[in-house]
Amino acid sequence: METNPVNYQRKMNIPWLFNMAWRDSRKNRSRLFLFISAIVFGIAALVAIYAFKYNVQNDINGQAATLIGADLSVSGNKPVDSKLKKLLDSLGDDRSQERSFASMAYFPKSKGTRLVQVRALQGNFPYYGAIETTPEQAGTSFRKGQMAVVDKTLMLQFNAHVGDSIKIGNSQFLITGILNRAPGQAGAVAGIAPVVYIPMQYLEQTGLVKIGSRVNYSFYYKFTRPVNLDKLTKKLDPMLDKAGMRYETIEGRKENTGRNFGDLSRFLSLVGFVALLLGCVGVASAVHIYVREKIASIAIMRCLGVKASEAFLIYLIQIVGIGLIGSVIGAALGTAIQHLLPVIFKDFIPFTISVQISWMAIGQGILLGVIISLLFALLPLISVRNVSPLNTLRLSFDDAVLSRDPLRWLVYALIMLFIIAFTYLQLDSWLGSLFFTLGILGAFIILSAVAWLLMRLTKLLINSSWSYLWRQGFANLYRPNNQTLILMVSIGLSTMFICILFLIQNLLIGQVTLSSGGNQSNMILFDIQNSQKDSVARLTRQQGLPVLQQVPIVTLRIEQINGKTAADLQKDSTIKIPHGVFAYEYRVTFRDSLSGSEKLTDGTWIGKAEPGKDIPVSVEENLYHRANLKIGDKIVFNVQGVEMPAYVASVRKVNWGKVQTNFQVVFPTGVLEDAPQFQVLLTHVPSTKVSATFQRAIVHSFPNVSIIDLGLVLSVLDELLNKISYVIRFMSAFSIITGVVVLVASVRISKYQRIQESVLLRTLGASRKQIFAITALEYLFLGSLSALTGIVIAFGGSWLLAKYSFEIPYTVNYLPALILVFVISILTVIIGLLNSRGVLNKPPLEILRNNA
Amino acid sequence: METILNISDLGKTYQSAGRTLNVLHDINFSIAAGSTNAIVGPSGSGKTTLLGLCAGLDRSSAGAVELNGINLGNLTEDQRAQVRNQYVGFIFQNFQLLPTLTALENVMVPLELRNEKNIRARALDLLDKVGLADRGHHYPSQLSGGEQQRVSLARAFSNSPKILFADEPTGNLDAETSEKVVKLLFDLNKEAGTTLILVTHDLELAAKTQRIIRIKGGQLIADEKTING
Amino acid sequence: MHKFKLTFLLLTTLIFAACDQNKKPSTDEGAKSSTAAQPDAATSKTVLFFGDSLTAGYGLDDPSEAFPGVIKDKIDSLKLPYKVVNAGLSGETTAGGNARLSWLLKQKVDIFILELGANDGLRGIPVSETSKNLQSIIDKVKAKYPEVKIVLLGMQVPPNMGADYANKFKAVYPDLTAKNHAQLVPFLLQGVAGISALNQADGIHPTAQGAKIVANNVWDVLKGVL
Repeated sequence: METNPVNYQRKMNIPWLFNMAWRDSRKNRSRLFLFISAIVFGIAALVAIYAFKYNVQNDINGQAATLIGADLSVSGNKPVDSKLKKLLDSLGDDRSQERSFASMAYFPKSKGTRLVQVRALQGNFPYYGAIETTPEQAGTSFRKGQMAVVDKTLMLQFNAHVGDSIKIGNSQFLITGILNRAPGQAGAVAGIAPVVYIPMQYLEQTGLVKIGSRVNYSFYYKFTRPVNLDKLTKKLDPMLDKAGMRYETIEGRKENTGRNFGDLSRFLSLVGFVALLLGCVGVASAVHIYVREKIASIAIMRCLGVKASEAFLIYLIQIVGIGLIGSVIGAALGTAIQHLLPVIFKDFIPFTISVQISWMAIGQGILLGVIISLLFALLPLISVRNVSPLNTLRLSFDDAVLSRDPLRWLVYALIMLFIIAFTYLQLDSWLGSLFFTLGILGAFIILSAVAWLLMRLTKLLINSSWSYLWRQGFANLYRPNNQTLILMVSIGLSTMFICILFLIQNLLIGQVTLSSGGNQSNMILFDIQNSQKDSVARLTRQQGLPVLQQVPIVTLRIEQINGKTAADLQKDSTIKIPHGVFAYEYRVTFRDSLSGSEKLTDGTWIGKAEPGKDIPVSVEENLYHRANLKIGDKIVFNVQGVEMPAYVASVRKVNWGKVQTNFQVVFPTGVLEDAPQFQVLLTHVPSTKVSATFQRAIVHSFPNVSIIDLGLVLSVLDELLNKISYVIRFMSAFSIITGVVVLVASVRISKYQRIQESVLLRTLGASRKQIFAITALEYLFLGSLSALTGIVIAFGGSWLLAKYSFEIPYTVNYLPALILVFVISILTVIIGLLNSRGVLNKPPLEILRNNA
Repeated sequence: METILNISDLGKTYQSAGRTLNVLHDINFSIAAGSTNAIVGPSGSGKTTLLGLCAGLDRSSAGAVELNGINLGNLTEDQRAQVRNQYVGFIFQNFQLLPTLTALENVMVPLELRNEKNIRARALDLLDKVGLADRGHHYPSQLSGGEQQRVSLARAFSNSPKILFADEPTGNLDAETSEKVVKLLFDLNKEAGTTLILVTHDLELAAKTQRIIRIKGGQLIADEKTING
Repeated sequence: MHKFKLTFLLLTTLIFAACDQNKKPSTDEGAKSSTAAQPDAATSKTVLFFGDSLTAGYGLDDPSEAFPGVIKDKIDSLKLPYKVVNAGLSGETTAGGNARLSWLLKQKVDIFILELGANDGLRGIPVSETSKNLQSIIDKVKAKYPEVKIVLLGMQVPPNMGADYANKFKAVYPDLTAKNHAQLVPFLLQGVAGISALNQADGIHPTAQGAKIVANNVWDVLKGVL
């Protein structure tokens, strides 16, 4: 043994490191539980959100499928020739056909006549979704006989019932069901005339399809075998195009529908990201404090000959292991939540959200959980390497050691890289992820700076004239071994995330409700003649309906732009005005102010024209660019024979996404009042019943007025929007809960920081009340200041998000934010006090032993 | 007699608040293998610092520490850890058991680090020697101070160290327990033939060793043999 | 959708989320809603074409390709002293025409060619209503210019609207002609309607080629009036 040289190259005993990691974790399970809870909730939120996202995506895809009802639909307004027919008959595994056209339907019982859209159907269409009827089976059974299903409003309008008959052309059909909804109805056309379905085998005898008839021919296909529709449609396209036919696939519809959900998926990304970051904050703060407590143990191990790298690895293994366990539990919890919540809330939500286990979400969640535990634990963990064995003799761990470790820059870089990479995966934009990362970095720096300032200031301000409790409470903020920085950052970040989610959620919900529901117009009356406008409005109000908008519409053309006419255009190819600008008949209005959906982007709005001078008009942005216009350009309008010189006074941005009248050109008042015009009136009908009564009244008194009932169309949209707002609410609520848990966990973890001290004070004879007061003061100060800082950052952050990511107007309600500051401060104090309660209820010695 | 530890011109200074604190200077002595020694001095005299330097827990500012012929000053911290693991045993005033490990596991750690065989049996044997065979599965917090220090003794001897450093081993124990622990320490030491260096301000304890080195104000002021030597 | 083009045109203005929003409407028409040259009542007589998209030439590349333009060319080549005014307006109904008439009657009219009702028919507006409005238009024109000669252009709705409605609708024009001692082109789109080669893709508006046939239909009656 004497000659045994020192073996400096001792090989690392990996199994032993695992063994030590396991042993070391044993007595600390309760503390690790807090660390684990941050991961568990973060990952649970993430998995639930991902799963929701995938499910909602599926739902939206499903919805897109039910919107067209088939894998492929082909339609045109001409009968197909035999060659094309052969081709069309060869497609798909199941085929259906439909002929649709407008016709006057007659209700023999009430002797009423009304324009309807007849749809003669053959086959099993729809393959996705259903022709929803009352009674339910009518949607399929009507195909078996001379039967029809009739639009609900139409039924109400003519007081018809199931069992009555309806005359279409020369044939009478038995009404076997009331039509509530059908595929392909969510279009503009459906609103114009109510739909009546009849079986195609009875179409011939109606005598309506003859030479000269205006009929739309549709072919629906279902593909049971997998087929590349994209390729197929590309092949079909030229042939169909030649025959003047159009096609639609689910994929194409999905893209169109999907665009409406851009906000939702952006929000879900945000929520998922925030949930994850909250987990990170939890991990970082938990591990930070955990490592501090482990210094003594590490020093002992170092004394016994454990290498720095080995000590580091022992704790790394531990943290990653726990991270893995936490992630798995979190994934399970997230999946459970995703399954349970719709069940719990099924009475409150008027629709179903499909629930499927998303292995993709679970896999992503677990992977991310492990990565973040590793990454965010690394920073405190690298300090393990610097724990000197000398600590066994005297405790002298120095925070400064960490700040000098060059490795920490590598860790910072890794964290930044991770955040950038992860945001990129979520947002699919490098610029976006860069800004996001910078934003978080900024928040971190601000919070750290505030913490630093706080420590400096309290040190300066503390005054011996203060009472002992105040001095002690405040001194805790800056004395060695303080928790100011870590709590400031974790409470501040949690508050910031919670607040941002809350604010953005409110903004988005506000957007969603703006576009549907409530008092949005869902019925349009047009062709109201000037002489009728007051009486139509009066009738509308008499029926208890709101007149949401009533605008005059004048049709005109552009005769000249800066002296150039359409004729000049043909002669001179250098004029940069598209021909269509002159060819188009513009429907314009006149008013003295901008509407809610318009925003001035350039020029000045002039609401009143001066007699004898050029008319100042406002041009919509798209037309402005298309026609190459500039502010001040001269335009001569031709108002049905009368030329009117005008100039471009302003440019407007118009939100076309709402059901309301929007115009490419708006005139000021004082010019067009006498011009030929008609009126459009927008109203909101709450139910099909009201709609039917109202339509009956209008048709009776004003037969020339046409009505578009968008109720059916918008109800589909409403359902989707409802779903979206539910998902938004649920997801943010869940992330907010995660935030609170992380916040609680990080404050809770700080328990061990103050135990020694509290016990000492207790031993020295401090009363319960005194210890409570000292603790309360410290936590109150930390809690309120970091919450306040967090919320101020959140205001800035949500403003940036609203403006640049969601592109929605920013409004903020300060009251909830203030309540949030209050709640978080109180929460911090309560947890802080709970932390010291354990100390106060047990004899000091017992605690000292347990926590030695 | 063979020298196990040779201290020459040893000095240690600390930088604190911009001032240089001279804790130890010009310490010279050597320790014979198998001997028992005490370093005594009042609080703040620098004896704990001296212990830390001798055991390779810290780096000296001046001079050299040569342990079993190895100059510790030339080694990295990890290499010194290796030296500690192979040649050095420790006993601390506040026992310094790993709180998350059982008594048995605490004893096993140094052996495990050396990848030795029959670890469990040897650790149990050591626990038996300190009279705690039946407490092996208890955690430190479930043991009394005396028991903890006995576990610590078992651990210190587990790797058959050439030299054992004990920092106020009875400092946290009552008189009666102290006596038992001290007896155990000296018995085990004798049996293993280990060199013992004891840091204490308890002169009665110091008197049980063969040689007493006195420190005051960071300097060696006396070095004398006791009646045992 | 084509059946409802007239409405749809409006809808593109009243855009909402579900529809193909904010695209430039497919109208690509160059028809003049009045002649480029302003009427000069002192030297010549005026023929006013008062109608809807058929008169306005909806969907044609060049406005002069619409049937009033073809007739104008004929008049010009025959050097007849008539000015042609095209007062067609896409989507116009009889009610709308009735309301905007006074705006047009500011200029003197010698021959008033009335081409309205198609949009009423496609919207299923009661035939009595259409008839009433057309009568009111004729009355107003006669009241202002008693010397005016009126030519009614007869319309029909496609058979899919139902025989009952179609027959009643068809009868409106001969009835009004008889009542008002006017001239009648029995069916404006005779020889064009239902023939896809002569109609635009929407199947409802004649192509330039179709417009020539339409113009001939009108000319057969109009030449006697001139």
